[in-house]
Amino acid sequence: MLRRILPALVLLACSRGATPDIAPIALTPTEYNNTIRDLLGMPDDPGAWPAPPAVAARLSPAVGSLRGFAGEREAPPWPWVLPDEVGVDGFEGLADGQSPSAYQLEELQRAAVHYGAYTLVSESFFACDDWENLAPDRQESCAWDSLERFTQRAWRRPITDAERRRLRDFWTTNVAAGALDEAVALTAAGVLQAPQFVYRIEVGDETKRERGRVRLTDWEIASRLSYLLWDSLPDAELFAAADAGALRSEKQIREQAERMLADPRARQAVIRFHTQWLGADAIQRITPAQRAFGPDFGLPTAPGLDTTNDQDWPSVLGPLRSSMEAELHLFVEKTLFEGEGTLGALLTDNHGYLSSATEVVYGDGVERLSLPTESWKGSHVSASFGVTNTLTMEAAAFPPDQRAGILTLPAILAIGAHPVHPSPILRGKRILERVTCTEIGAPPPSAEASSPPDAVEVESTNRARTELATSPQPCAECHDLLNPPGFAFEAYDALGRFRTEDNGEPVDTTGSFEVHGERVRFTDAVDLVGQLADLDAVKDCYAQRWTDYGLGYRADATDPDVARILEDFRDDDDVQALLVAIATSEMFRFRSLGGDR
Amino acid sequence: MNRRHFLRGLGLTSAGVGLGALGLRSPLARADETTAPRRLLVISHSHGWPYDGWRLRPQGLDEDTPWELDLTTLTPEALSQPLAPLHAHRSRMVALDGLSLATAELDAEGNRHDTGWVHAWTGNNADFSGTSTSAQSASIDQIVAAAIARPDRLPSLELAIDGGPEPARPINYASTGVELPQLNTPDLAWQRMFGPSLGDASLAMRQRAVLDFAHGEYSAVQRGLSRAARSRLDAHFGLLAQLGDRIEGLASLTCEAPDPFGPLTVYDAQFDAFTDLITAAFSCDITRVVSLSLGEMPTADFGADAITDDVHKGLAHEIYNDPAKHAAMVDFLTHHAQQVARLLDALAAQPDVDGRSVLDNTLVVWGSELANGWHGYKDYCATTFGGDWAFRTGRYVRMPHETPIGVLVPRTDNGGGYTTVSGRPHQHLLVSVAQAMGLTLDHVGLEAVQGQSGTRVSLKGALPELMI
Repeated sequence: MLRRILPALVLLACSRGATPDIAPIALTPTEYNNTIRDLLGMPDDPGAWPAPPAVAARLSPAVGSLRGFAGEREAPPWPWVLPDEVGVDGFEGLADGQSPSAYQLEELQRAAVHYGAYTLVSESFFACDDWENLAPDRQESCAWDSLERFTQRAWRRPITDAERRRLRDFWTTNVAAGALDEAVALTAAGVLQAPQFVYRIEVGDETKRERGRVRLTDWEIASRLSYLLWDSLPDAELFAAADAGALRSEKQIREQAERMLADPRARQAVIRFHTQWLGADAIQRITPAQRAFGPDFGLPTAPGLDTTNDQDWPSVLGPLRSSMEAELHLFVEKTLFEGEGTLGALLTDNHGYLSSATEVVYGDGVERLSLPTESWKGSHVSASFGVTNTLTMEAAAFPPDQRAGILTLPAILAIGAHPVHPSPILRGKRILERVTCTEIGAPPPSAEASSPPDAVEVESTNRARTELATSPQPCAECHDLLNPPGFAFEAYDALGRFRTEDNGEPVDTTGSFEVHGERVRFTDAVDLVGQLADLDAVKDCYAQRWTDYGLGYRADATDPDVARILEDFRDDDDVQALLVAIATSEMFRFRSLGGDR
Repeated sequence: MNRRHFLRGLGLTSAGVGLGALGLRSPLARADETTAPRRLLVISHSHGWPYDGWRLRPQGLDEDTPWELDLTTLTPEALSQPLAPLHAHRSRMVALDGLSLATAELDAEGNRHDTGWVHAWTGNNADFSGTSTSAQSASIDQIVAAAIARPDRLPSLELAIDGGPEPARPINYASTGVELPQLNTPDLAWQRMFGPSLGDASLAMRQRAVLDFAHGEYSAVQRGLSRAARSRLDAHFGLLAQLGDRIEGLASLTCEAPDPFGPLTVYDAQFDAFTDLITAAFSCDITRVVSLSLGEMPTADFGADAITDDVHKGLAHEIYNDPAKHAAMVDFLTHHAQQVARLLDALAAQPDVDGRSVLDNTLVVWGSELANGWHGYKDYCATTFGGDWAFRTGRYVRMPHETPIGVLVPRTDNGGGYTTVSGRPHQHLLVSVAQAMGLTLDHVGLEAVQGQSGTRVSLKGALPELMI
């Protein structure tokens, strides 16, 4: 921890109680798409979007078709696939993890032209009724009014007089150059590529300077709140609060944050934090091997020699992945919004959600709870056809000696595995880096070559093979720390199934390791996660990750503001209260003045 | 080639939109007129190669030791039926006998076409979540384009020919793994290449004006920001200005272009139209990277219509069951080879700015999504043409199978089931191509895999048999 904090101390010493002078934060790919959806008033289901207006085909250069084994198809209108950010500690949306690239710019340009055209079929865009059938002069004036309103929402603040003049000039040029619908689409495309849309530019209220810092404007606070709690732009009520100057006091911000946390959008944003926290997007790319697990699903260990049944395994894996992902999302949502709402519960609650796709993973030991089922749409590809599978997720309680909390859900266990065997190394690394904020560093280039073989036929236990491969120096130097927390999870195979034996021998899930100077001795994963849930270092780590995520940079843990957030979280362990504490902190409301300003 | 238009660079004034006033960079000057750029052309056909009909086995050369033939000394009759049409280009050719798509066999799942085309061109595992097949990293054409593209022109062109019962395969993936759309008629490609200058130029320039507006907002906004904030926006909007250069560069192109083609229904006519377009794309420096995905041909085009009208299920799946269908797939491949030979002829006939031919400055890589029509990944018979600045050309190279990755083979081949070894993973070919195009990377897609026996197989490095 100290290694991580020291540089921050040097750099940020002069920015206590305020966000330091960092680069403006660009909308993340998730935020960009959510913002576009909400700006245009479109549904979450891309299949329910209206057809694009005729002008879209004219404005987009020849883009061709997506092709497949099954023939041509159109790309869905939304979301736009933007390149992933480099990220910091697995999270997007931190200034140091963002770096513009030529490819990103091309995609933003294509997306802007695409969604600029969609304004014409958006029900919320026009400031008048029945725009298409108005007289030409009324059409033009309504389109301008609509664009002005659109720009204020897109840029998330009132536009200045100078900005209005430039927008007006741009609009006038577009109107003169061609048809009116083209002018609307191209002007909107310009708005969507301007820095005021792509970035969250924070200048602060220059009239409120104090001690080298400046208070953020109400509009900037509104955006901070909405991107932290909703991954999208402010709603009408939040904009109204900003307009009324009602986002200044701690109390005002607290009330808004509490209101926003009660909105369904907050649930998606909180789930998104947790998938990043544990790197759980990887669940859609797990590749358990048919040669190892096919028989568990009623299939042979290989496709037939005539290759006609090579769709069988994909039809198992697609729903399996979706079901694991659904369970993770439901677990986070229900635990934090309808359950105890604490990190402790997140780490130890032994309930989950299973579907017909994961029955094989859970076996007979689970107790189905008489709660309403959840319907979950997943999708996967089979022979180039996109297949949508609606899963019925049933709540279940797990035997308390077998599972406890998020770290023992199959989704998290399966991403810590190779196609055949689980990986104590990957699992241990996740615990250390993500849960305890212990930095490990990158493995040497030769590390992968030394890892134990992932073959079906083996002569020892997975733990014994891992120990053998990692015991020589210099491997042992790191693996003495890395392996033990991973060994705690040896009672789960590569699919996350509970097991008591590995290759005919009892699994050994015991061990110990140090968490920031404190030795943790455990008998198995359930024992380990119970201890982790009580450790201040784990609570600090979790609260620090949320703080960094909320502020957009690695915050200085010694800043009194951060220290207070961490201390409060140690006491109450309440995740929603943690988010409110971040939103009402001084760092959230102030930013330091750059040395050159 | 059809009658040509001479494009005079409609540029700024004809579009009626002022440029440059807001500080965008002017288009880059043309490359040095005496130094030709290097280019990459990727060709991918469907259903692989009927290996026994493609390979060369002169007397005395066996399966288990490495050997090579000097193609320049061979007569057309000494080549196999599908290689014979390429005889005129044999000095530029390297025929690789002994590669495999073995890593696709290790990928966890998938229709073998789906898995194969991702592995073939990205070297990486496929991603089957979502509603369409995607990759986990960029395809070789996109990797190369990112490195060698001229900033004011198209980074790459993704072309496809449809003419038979099944469309062309997707072979292009962005760095996000997203499948890139293909231009599947000559007129779509024409529009993309010449539309900004010959077609609706004003629209292209209005797109540029949109970027001008965004850039103008940046100029206004950045004045009030700190140095740290400005520096991030500078980077972003510097790249945006380059995008503007590209739009303007294409709109002010000076080049000879073929006429638009109109609807073409005959497969060979489509191929020849694309040949014209590729030749123009390279000679005008519209792009330096082109890929051409070849959809299935109607069976009548290669004389198999008496057997079936379905290449895929009627012929390709049956190559090990029925000698007549194997022979028909040899004819199918031969017909593709005749098309490729015409394309190479056209590139060879086009003078380049350095006095050589366009083909002399182009590396052509020809592969497929499968090794054979039975969905096998063994014996992937990729062929290259040109690239003599990096490859030792004019050779047929036999590499024995010794990679410890098992691949499925049919019952007629060694009893069927999984082999214990397979050919050299094709990732080494992708690395070779990348290095030939000037990149310094040591792997493309996956870096290493474990075979079914647990043995680690490194996928790093170029093919030593290929490189100078």
